[in-house]
Amino acid sequence: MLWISGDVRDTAERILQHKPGSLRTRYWQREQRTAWILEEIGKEQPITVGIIIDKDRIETVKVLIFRESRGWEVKYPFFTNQFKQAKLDSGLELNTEIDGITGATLSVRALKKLSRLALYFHQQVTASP
Amino acid sequence: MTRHKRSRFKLKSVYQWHRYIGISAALFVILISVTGIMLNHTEQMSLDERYVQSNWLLDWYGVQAPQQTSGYRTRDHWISQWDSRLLTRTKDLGHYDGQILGAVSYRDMLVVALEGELLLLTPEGDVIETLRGYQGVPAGMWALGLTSDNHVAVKAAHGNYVADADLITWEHRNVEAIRWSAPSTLPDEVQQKMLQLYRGKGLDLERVILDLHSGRLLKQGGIYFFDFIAVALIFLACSGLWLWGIRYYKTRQHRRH
Repeated sequence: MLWISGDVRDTAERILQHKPGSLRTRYWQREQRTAWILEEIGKEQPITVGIIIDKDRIETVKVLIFRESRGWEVKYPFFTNQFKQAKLDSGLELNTEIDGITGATLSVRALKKLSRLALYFHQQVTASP
Repeated sequence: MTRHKRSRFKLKSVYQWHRYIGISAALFVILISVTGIMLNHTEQMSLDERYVQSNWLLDWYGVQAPQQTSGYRTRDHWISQWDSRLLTRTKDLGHYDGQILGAVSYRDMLVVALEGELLLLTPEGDVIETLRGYQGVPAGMWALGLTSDNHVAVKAAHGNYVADADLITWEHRNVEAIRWSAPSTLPDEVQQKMLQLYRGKGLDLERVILDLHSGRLLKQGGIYFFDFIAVALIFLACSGLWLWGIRYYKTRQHRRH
């Protein structure tokens, strides 16, 4: 479990542009590979996303539960595949350009935020002591 | 009355109307301008996150709380769901679509079961974590309790499940001695506190400012009244232009002669 407090909380807030909804989050780890299930509100409802990270790069992004009535296109691999191999740059942004989808701006934004957050959390749990 | 006198009388009359309507409308011009500026900066001023606490205004808007009389008592808290909002005595925990099924104190946490999810809260009511099916919470949960050795247990579609200490894994066990959380009547004092919390977040400031701007605060009569003010402002603009035009024309004529 990763506790989202102190600097981690401040950075998570910077990435999400709002306070994180919980004080801790669970993850699964095997050596340098971690898996995260995170949520972020698209327009009105939370989007549940699974993200696997291997050696600081995104391996898989998968939308697990999509509750919004619009913007569901983000579920499909043509969109989520864009995140593969993305990593965080020094400004905590993704180092690859993610093409948006017309009419799904907020959902796209939510997935980008969650990808950055998962990469940041991964850095926290895999960083050498 | 000569034509010249009639014209002067007409001009004087327009002047007077312009002045009286101008004075009367000044207050509304200020009101509409100030509320307009506020609405242009809703996000910066967090108007949609600030709530009206005034009882008479809440009554005026008809913000009524449901007559919720029951809740779940834990070691240190009362927790109750009013419509979709979860409330403790001191905090509004927010909207949750699922119906509350129970609440227990576990270690230093408050565990609240809702349809399809478990909320882990600090004693102050901050969300530590939300657990759902994909995090191992048994499907079809409909009751929450504690075993005699203080483990969290749920009654779900396929029987009773008991969680490990960190609520990570759930074991299907037919344990007899489980104290199930059950609703009970809210004490009056707690109910009143929750009522205040419920109503306190029922009406945001943005709504009130918007209604003040459009006149809707005074219901249908207010809308017509603000329509009247709008017509008065149009009259002021036209009469002002007209009076300025006449004065300009006369000044030019005077200079020519």
